[in-house]
Amino acid sequence: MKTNDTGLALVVAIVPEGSAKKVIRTARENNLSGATVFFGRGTCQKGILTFLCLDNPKREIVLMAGGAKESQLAMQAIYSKLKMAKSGQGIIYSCPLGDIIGSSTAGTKSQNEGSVPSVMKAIYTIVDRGKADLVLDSAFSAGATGATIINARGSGIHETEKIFQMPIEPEKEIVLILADNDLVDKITDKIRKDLEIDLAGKGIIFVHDVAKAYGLRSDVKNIKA
Amino acid sequence: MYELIKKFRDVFLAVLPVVAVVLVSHFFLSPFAPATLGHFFIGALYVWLGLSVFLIGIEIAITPLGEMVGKKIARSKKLWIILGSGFLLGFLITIAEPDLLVVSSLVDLLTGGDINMLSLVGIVALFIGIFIAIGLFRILFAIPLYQIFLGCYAIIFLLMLFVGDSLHAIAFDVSGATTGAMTVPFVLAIALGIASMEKSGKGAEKDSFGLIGIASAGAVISVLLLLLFYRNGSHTTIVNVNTDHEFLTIALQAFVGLLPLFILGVAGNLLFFKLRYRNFRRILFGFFYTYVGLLLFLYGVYSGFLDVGRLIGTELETKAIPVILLVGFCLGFFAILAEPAVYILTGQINHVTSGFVSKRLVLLSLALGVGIALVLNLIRTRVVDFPIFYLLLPGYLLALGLMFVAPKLFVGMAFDAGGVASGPIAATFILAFSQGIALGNDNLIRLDDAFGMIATVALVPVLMVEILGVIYKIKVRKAVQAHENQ
Repeated sequence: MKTNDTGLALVVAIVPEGSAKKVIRTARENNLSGATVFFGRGTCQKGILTFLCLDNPKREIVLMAGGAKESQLAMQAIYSKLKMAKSGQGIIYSCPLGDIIGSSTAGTKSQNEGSVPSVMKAIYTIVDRGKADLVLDSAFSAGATGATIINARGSGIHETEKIFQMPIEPEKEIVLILADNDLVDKITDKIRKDLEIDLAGKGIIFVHDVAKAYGLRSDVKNIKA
Repeated sequence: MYELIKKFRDVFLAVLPVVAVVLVSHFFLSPFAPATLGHFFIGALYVWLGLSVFLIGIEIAITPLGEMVGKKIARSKKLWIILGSGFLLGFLITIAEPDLLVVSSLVDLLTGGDINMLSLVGIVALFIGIFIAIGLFRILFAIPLYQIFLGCYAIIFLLMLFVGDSLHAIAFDVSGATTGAMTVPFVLAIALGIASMEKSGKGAEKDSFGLIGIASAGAVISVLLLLLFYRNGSHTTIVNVNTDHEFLTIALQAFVGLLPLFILGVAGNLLFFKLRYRNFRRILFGFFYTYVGLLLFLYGVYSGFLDVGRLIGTELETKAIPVILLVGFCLGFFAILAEPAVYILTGQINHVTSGFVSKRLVLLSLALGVGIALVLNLIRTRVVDFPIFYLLLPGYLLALGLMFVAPKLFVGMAFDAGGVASGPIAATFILAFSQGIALGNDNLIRLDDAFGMIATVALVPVLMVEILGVIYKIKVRKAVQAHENQ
């Protein structure tokens, strides 16, 4: 499979709460400047903690965009800086970007290194608030090994309503799952079936390529270019 | 696992400074008896473990429950349900608040029974209920927060004119005690739950705060109203301050404090939320953690911190004024770091603003605020004797004025911070310290000196957070300008 290689990449780091600063600093040292941070929560499947209900670690998600080469170096630096080889210290992955607009790094496209084969994908499932749980159940039963949940709100214009003077929007949850190519279809099919995604208003799923990923605890640890 | 270790480590670092201050005064001011010091260390250990477990419990039970309740109420879209349940929630949590019971019994004692404890608790709970309802109404009808606060404090100032000088502090102290360890997380979560449905991101941010501030103002109004009927202002009753705190009493207090929320959680789930078993189980576990944590925390504070606070106070009494002020500042500054509600507020600020408003800066403002509050209050009681009115009136006028300068987001946070700073640590450790200074060694107390500490502790952080807001505003403006110039 080929990615549409423009020499640009989006780097996504999902790290424990409070570590985003370190990620951004390390990225800057590696010429990847500018970052956007938001919160999510991770999952963990260790028996005893789940039994004690201590299993929803907070996560910070950092988005950074830049040239593919810098991204690669920055990712490796962040990977070692945050000791991601250890369990629970976060993951980092990159995906090819079509274009970056509005950033000073946009002019510094790296050389085209040739297309990078992608053996992994990121699956985004957006459902109504409270249903992320069900998505996780389906995904895990289909072989997914981890997920990050992001609270979000809002959707199409027709869903907006008002409580007295307060305009409200439906609340959503975004479930982000990284999975190997051969598992993606299985996972998406299962979620699609279990949550009746095909019916109107039940949510959406989209999938995109991942160029490189580090820190995952599944069998494929580092994907070589 | 990493998360758990991190929580325990964070709380450890928060409790450490208080221990350091106590050790410094042990070595440089006056040595404590070995038994007292031992009790303090064991107490600090309990506070560390208790606070960590409590915060975990709040995170997995109380906050989600509050959010669900807030959403459910708002979604009903029926005004009477919204106002009615707001009132009921406020009323129930308040009558169960352990801190309020303690302060009320103190008021009962100090006024020689003229102000009955039960009537005090009753009227405060009634008004907190009403004001929570007003707070919910405000969010849903998009009434700006500053209008509510202007109205509340106009009423407060008016009532203060008719109530004797020496009684003002009682009203603010009781209000401070009302917004304790259980009320704060739950009320904050209700506001968060409703506000997070909002369409506008800005609105969602600023409406997540302010409800605690409104409830606090309601409590002040209620006590002032009660005091209108109590004219005997120049009381200098002398009573023994009760320092007995049995483990079982605290266990019962913590249980009673948690009970209304627990019943609400179970009943609400059966009737409305209908959570999946797994999620309901989480909430039950969370309640268990909250209870165990609260129990350990309170026991640690009562058994270890109270005596040490009082002793430092009594020892300081004979020292030079600058030393008193310095120790007072340090004690206030560091003790507040171990206040449970402070964590919950700064956590929510961090969460709601996605990290834009730094947790650390808010914590620093709060700590500075409490430190300064102690200094101001010590100056009031030790250096120049003036009524608390001269501190509260300009203070709150300034706070109201700053509302128009500080960004809207910070206004709600600031008034919430006032209620939050005056939690169990302020009501025990800091209060014991200031009482120690006030009464010397004879364990007797005057009405004028007994109150006022919590009132100032609730005031100055409001100002500090508003000032932080102004600084943010200037910084952001500068950054934007610098960006445009590029």
